[in-house]
Amino acid sequence: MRRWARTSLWRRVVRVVEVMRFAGVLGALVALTACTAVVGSSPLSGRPDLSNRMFLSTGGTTRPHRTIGFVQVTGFGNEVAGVIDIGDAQVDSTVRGALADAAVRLGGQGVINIEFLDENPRTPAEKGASFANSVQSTGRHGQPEVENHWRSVVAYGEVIQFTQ
Amino acid sequence: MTTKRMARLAVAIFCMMTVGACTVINTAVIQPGRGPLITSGDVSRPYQSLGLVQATRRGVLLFGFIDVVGTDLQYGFNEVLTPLVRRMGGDAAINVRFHQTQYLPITKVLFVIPFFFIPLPTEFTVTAEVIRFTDGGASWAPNQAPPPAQPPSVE
Repeated sequence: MRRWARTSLWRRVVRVVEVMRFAGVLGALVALTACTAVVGSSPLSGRPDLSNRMFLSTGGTTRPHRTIGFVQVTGFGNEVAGVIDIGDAQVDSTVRGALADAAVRLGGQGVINIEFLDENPRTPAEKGASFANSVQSTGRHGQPEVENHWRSVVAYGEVIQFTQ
Repeated sequence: MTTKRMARLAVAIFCMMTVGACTVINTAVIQPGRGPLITSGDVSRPYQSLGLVQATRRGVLLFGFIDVVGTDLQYGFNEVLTPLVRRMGGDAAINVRFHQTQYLPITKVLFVIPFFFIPLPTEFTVTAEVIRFTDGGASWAPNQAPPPAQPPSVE
């Protein structure tokens, strides 16, 4: 009887250890995949560009052109509780929106050699932690206390006008 | 020279190298022909833009040296950017810009011995424009000429 009890207990201990090990590995895998923040935009101009839209490219252009000037745009925004993005801190709105608008105001037909940077992207792990902290702090104090994080996206480019 | 003196000399040389080293170098090797084209320049082939992309990978260095999640250039290009380009259906990533957190050797050593309990934050960031070639050929180096057109079959 005692031997049976010891064996049964030992099996339970081993099972618990195995489950914990599996949970640890799973947690590590989740953590690894949750450490990468990816942001993107919709397509820019192709080559050759057959559309009549503002020419936007991270490279140059083979069409003859003259340089009008240079532009730098920063879109600011706020991330609330790791879930809601408020403001203009998106690559799309900064590059295809604000940068293109600035080029139009300068009289340009395109922006070349575009460089951009989301200065403080948030990984899924960080967003999850913000959300959890916001929920917990709200429950604890009764008043909603959500975590806010400043966000910003900066873009640069050379404004050109085609001469042919 | 006695063993004790040699050990002291080795420690002294190590300390001098650590304190005197002011340049940190990290490299990534891109295997040609495997996977999408990755270049920091432009390409001369016709293409369709699939959009801009930025990937940021954050982690920590344990004990100053152990990169837990992989935030170096090699990992970033192989395991972050290349799969991302594939997922978007792209043939290439052009005008790539990248950055990796780099620490001086003395900083890393300080976080091994006195501050071993503090993990060093580390980060890899890459931006690029993902494109798909529209001339029907496979991905190849941007400066190479496209393959000659197949001669028409005679029937």
